[in-house]
Amino acid sequence: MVFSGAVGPPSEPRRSGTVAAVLFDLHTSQRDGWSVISVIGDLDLASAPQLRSEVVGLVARGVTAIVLDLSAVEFCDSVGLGVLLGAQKRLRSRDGTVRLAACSEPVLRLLELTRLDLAMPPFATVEDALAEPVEAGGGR
Amino acid sequence: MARVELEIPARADYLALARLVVAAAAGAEPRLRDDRIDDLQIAVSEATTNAIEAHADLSEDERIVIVCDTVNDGVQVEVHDKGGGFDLDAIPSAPHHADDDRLERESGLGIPLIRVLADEADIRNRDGGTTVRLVVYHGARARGAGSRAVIE
Repeated sequence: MVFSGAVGPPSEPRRSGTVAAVLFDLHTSQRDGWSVISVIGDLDLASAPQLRSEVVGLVARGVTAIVLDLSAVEFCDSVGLGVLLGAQKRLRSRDGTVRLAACSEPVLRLLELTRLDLAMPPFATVEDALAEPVEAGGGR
Repeated sequence: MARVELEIPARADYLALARLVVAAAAGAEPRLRDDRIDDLQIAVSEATTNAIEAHADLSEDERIVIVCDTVNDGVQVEVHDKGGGFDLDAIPSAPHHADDDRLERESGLGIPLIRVLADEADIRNRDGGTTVRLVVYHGARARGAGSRAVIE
């Protein structure tokens, strides 16, 4: 049984109807002084730039407090994990805070495999992440 | 499970397709646990991501080939690319999880993850390209259910 990808999407990176377009989306909202980014779908090399761009854009507009709602992430690999780490680095360099919340099983699995759950302990719910006081100087 | 061969352009928007096909092919082996299929999907995503990046300087006509097949007591996936190949021994290990450097590196966990997730994994340079071979077992050589190998 051989499948060939000879027919594929056109040059646009994400077109309605492609597998990638169906599998990933971002919704950003404001709650209690935080920007909450809800990540939906697969977080990998195809979608990571979109999440990175969203975080960069928020920081450029002066946002220093971000919650990443990862409850609807259906797949995550090391590239996806790298974007989460990059977000943390970016916010910390500006005395800001990024929190992982409501992580789906795929995200938790990867955090545990890489032991990064110790360095980026996830919050059980978005509400918990919003309620926890921020340490002085940013951080968790 | 029949042998399944998938040929894709070296583009990130084909990663999801590669994972879906591998999961479906591996799922045809009834003795393979669901959590091992999940592990195989991550490992294949890592290997295919590396292959896509290795093709960055090649013609768009060059394809990545993914082959899924049964082996004794398991499922094997091979990811073939035509990139320049690399020296596995030259890849640095991931910093220890207690090392702050692990937080600083946004990349470099792909190969360590492959090693932890697959029961067998090897990377071979051949004919100017690279083949990553992954095996997950369902028999006596399978990792026990609930075991949690990690990248220390």
